[in-house]
Amino acid sequence: MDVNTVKELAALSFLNFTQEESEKAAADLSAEVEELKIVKDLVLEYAPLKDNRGAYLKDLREDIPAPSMPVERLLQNAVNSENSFVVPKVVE
Amino acid sequence: MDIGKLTLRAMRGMLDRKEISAPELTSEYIKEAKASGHFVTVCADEAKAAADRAQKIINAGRATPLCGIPVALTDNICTEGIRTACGSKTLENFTPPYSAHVADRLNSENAVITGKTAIEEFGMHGSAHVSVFTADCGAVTLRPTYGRVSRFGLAAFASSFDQIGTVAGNAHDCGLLLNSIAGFDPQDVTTNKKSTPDFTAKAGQTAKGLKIALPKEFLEDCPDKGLINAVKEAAEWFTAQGAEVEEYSLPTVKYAYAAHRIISSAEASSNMARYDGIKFGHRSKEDGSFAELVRASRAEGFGFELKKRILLGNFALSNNNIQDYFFKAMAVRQKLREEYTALFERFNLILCGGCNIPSILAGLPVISTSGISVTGNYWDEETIIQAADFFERGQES
Amino acid sequence: MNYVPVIGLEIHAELLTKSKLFCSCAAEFGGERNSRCCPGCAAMPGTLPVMNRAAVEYAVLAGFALDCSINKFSVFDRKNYFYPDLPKAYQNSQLALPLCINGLVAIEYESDGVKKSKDIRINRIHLEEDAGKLIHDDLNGVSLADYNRGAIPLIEIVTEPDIGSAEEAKAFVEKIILTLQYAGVCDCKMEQGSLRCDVNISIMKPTDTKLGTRAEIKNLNSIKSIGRAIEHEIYRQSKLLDAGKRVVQETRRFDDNKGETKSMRSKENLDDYRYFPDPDILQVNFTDEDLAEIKSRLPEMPYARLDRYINKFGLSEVEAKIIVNQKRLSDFYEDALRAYHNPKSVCNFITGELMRRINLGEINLEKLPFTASALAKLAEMADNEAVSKNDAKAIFRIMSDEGGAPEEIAKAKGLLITNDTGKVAEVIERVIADNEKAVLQYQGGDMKVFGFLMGQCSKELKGVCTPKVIKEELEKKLKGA
Repeated sequence: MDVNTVKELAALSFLNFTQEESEKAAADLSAEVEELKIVKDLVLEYAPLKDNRGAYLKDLREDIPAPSMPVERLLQNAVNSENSFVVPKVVE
Repeated sequence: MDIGKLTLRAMRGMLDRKEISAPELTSEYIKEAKASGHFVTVCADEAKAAADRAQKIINAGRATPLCGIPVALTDNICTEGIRTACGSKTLENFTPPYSAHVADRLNSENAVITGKTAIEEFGMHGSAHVSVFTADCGAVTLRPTYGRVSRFGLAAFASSFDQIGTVAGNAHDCGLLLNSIAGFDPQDVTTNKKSTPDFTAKAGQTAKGLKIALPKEFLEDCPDKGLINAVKEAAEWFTAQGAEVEEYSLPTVKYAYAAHRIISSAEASSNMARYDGIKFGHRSKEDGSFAELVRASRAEGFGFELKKRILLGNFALSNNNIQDYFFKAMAVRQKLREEYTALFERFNLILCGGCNIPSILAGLPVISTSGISVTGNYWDEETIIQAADFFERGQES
Repeated sequence: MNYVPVIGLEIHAELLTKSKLFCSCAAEFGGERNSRCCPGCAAMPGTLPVMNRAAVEYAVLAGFALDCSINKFSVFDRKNYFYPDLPKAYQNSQLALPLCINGLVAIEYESDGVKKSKDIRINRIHLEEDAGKLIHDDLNGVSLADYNRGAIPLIEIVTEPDIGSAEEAKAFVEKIILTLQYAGVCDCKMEQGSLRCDVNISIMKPTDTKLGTRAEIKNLNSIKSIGRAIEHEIYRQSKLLDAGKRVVQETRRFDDNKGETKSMRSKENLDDYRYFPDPDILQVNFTDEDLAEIKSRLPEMPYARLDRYINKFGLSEVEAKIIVNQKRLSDFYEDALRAYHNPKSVCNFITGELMRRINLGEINLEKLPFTASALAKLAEMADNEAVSKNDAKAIFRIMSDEGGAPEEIAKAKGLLITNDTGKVAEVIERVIADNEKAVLQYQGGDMKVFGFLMGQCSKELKGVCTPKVIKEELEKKLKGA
């Protein structure tokens, strides 16, 4: 995995990496991916049905509303204003 | 008094016979906790109040097994009103407005929660070791079948592996703790609806007649010769005690480490995405757009190992790689489960050592004690506790 | 050059569940900011999704209504991307195994005055969660996130690229709206955002075999803007191709004021959503009995109602369509018929007086000041000539303005026709006595004067007696006199 790939993945992951960190990550992850490659060529196919845990409609939650959390508790760990989470201005 | 040496059953007896009160026991435990260096938060006041409540119940003769017993939680288990930092700078000031299912269960049993123990960032390797402090204090760790204990309130790292386990001084006590936290929780739909047995039901029995598999791949490929020898010795001991031990091959185990690494990293990359500094958690002082703020917050809040793990996960899930890596790993897990299912048609247990990644990948229950580990069939924690308890007693004599 | 447009639609419809998709917070429109949220709505650590059964059932119901096959094993995925209205930084959706697949919707529309019809294939309907809302606080230069709408269940209906024009697209969306409303799964209020539409559009030369590059126009919130956006996009892409340029594959936004689409390209979200099965959500299985039970809940669909109105009730196609095309109106009609089963005359009141007042904006179908049975009673009174046709309209006007029961209004205003025979006889005798000449002319065979005599009687008997009774009595008297 080269530094460019690390930078692309960092962009996808919403992470900042310095050049030095990118190089270190590229080296570490290259070694790791080398070990993980052994699964690539296996003649195996993922079958979603095999992961079926047998949940039917009757196992799902009934549609009955319940009280929500008081807004001040919901926001207690956030920068907030006017009962809302504050985010940098989003330009659409 | 050396708290660390007391078993849960011994504590129970002392409490019930009034040889020690719950507040006294708690205060001893809090002292140890503070001195141990393993706690990130010690809840002295809350614990004192809980111990007082517990004592009243003991006095009334209505004590349940954990009533008045000090218990610690790892710091990735949310506790209402008590800081839950998950070993990460990103949550260093996070106080959950809710409690994990297991915390509620312990509270309702009047166990005394003494504090929160240190973990690696988000318990990154928590799927292999219940907690970092277990290894260096000779503790016994029980990881139950995936789906046995509710994950509600456990900060997710790798959702399909995350499983709350129990740590105690011996296998029997691990089972007692599990009794109090296991079972279906409507808040976690992956918990099993089966009724929970008394997990300690078979503790005290011998290993006579148990059919034990010894994984060939472990004996051949494990780089730690000391570990192999310990397991071989244990196998001989079990045989001498009347168990049938036989080598058995699980061909897919070879791919288990890679598959576990791929799936856990992929899930972690997605689970960690919510830490953006907006709703909770570390928020960078850097000004800028939403993306700039989130990138800076995450860069400052996460450690380098975790960041690499996120990159790896997104590598495995990205358009170019998802079929080759992620879905191949998912297929490996399915294949491995089938191999284990076939194995357990002939055996009761698997004897092994080390980090147990293959068992964890398959979601099987595993207990680690005295240098060995014992894996059991799905939903059969009783038999691994039986074998581990018997082995521990054999080691003592 | 003339190009062939190739259009596919993605329609997002919020389901009418009482609680959200993954938690028990109320799923209602509006409300104080973040007042309908729990730790899960803010994606706090350790929170987990617990799927709402009704949401799954509604999605399947929509599938049946749109002629889909239902997957008896359905998987929920995570779609990963960062955006401030998405607290988990992934949206739960369905990629490989959605709830419903392979549907079909027949549309009818007019193009250059010619009636046309077409079948539009539905690729899939999947269940997913809505995002929160961002409020832009210009004063402080920040945006404020409100997660009340977050995790409200949505279905996404995805068509095959079978749509060829703005007219077809509009007819399709109208048909979907009507169908979902009849099925009772979505209120389809585009102006409130409970139904939104994305348009995928490309153009090609009639001789081309390969599809052109498509653009996606996001979040259209009225039927009209769907039509306008498509028209503009065809124009924009045609101009590009005519000039020898290429269409860029991208997401665009429609500016309603300018009537133009604009690129929404952003460098921040790369187009790699890394869908994978969500380990926290169980796949859903259906038994045949489950599916049969859900299907049995499907009420009468609009086309069946239309057929019944025309062929059983004898309404004209125009009348039947006016009623059927608004579910609320049609339900009102059905309610009225239960009180007084004369489909034709109740229809006349609805398509006549009621629609006129609605179209004038004087009353609102959503909160009518009178009940369906009151309107039915009025129609019945008019049919039985308990009030005159003209007075019935006057009574209706009062009901529209002030509400009230038609009998009481008629009584209070003295509009009830009593057919008081004593009074009739008295008036007719007086008229005959006062108009001796005319009576003689009539008896002499000059039938034309009957109208004059009738008029004299009616003037005095207005509101007392129906013209029919006056006519009969007068004829009797004239012949006997």
